[in-house]
Amino acid sequence: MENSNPRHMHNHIRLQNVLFLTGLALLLGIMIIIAIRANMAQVAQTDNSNQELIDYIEKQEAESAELEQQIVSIRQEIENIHEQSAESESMLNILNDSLAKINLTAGYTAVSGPGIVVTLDDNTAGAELAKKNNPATYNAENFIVHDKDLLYLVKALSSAEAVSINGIRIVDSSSIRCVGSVIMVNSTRIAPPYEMLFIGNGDILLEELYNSGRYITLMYKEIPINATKSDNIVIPAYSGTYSTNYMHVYRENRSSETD
Amino acid sequence: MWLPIMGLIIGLLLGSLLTFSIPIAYSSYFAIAVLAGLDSLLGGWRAVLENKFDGMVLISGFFLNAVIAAFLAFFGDMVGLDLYLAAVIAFGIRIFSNIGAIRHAVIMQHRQKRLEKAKKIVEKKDMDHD
Repeated sequence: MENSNPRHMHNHIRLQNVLFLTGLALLLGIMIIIAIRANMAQVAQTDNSNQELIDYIEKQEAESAELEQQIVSIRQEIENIHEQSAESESMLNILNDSLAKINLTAGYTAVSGPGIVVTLDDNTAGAELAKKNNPATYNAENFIVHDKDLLYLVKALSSAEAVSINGIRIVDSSSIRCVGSVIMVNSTRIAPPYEMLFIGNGDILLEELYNSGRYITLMYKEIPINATKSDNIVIPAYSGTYSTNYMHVYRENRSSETD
Repeated sequence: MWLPIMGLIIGLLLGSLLTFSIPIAYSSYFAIAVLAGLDSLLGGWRAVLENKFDGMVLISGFFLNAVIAAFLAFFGDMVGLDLYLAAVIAFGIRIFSNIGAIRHAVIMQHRQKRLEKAKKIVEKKDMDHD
C-alpha cells in the first residue's frame, strides 16, 4: 500500500510475479480457444438441424413430385390401352365414353372453357406503411392472404365446374390449409401472388364472388384482389389419387349370400 | 512487463493445437468462466503494476470467480432468470476499470523513465561544468 505511488512503482516489479501472471495468461489463452471452439460447435449444430429438416422436406417434395409423375404416366398408359381396345369393340366404346365422363367430373383430365380469373396478393404496400406509421399496432397477419381466404372463396364460387389455384386442380378430396407461413394445396406448397381459375358461367361466378362475405372482408383489408372474365381458361388435371381404403361398393344381395 | 501478453498468445496457439473440447451444453457456462478468468488476469496485472501483488489472492480469485460465475449462469438457467447477465456486467465493468488502471500505471512508468533519463543528463552536464 505504501508503495502505491506510481512514480516509484516500476522498481518493485518482481520477475516472479510476472512469471506467475504469464502462466495464468497461458491457461486463460487455452480456455478462450476451448470456449470459442465449443461456441462454434454449438452454432454449427443448430445450423445443421435446420439444414437436415430442409433437406428432408426437399427430399419428400421431390419424392411426391416423382410419384405424381408416375400417376400421370400410368393414367396415360391406361388411356392408351382403352383407346386401342375401344376401336374394335362397340361395347367398350360405350364404357370408354362413360369412363371419360367420370374422369372429366373427377378432375382426372385437363379441361378448358369460359369462366373467371381471380388474382390475390399480399398487401405488402399496406404492411410497409403500417409498420412505419404505427409499429406498435402493426400485425403482419392483417396484410397477408390466408389459407382460409382461398378456401372460403372456392366454397363461395360453388357454381364453378372446375377450379385451380396456382395451377393445382381443386377436386372433392382437395385440401387448402396452412403449414407455418405457407399455404398448401393438395400437399403442394404455393406462394403469393395467387391465381384462382374457375370454369363456369362467368356472370354467375362474378356475382357469387362479389356477394361472398370473404370477398368483402378482403376488400376491407385492402388485399389486392382482382377478378376478370375469360373465354378460354385451361385448368390442368388432378395429379393426385382418391383413396378407397375403407369404402367398397355396396351390394344388397351380398349379406344374404354370406348368411 | 509484456510477458503475460506473450503467455496469452502462446496459450491461444497451444489451445488451437489441442483437440480437447467441452460438451456443447456447457459452452455458455464455460464462456462466463473465461470472462471471470480474464478479469482476474487483468486484476493480477494491475496488482503487479501497483505493487500489491499476492499470488494466493490471484489464483483463488481466478478459479473461484470462474466457478461461481459459471454456477450463477447455470442456476439462472435452472430458475429461468438471466443471471449470467449479472456476471457479464460485473466482470465487464471490472475488466474496463482494470484496463484503465493498467494504462494509467504504464503511462506513469514511461514518464518516470523519461524523467530519470533527463535527470541523468542534467547531472552529467553539472559534472562537466564542475
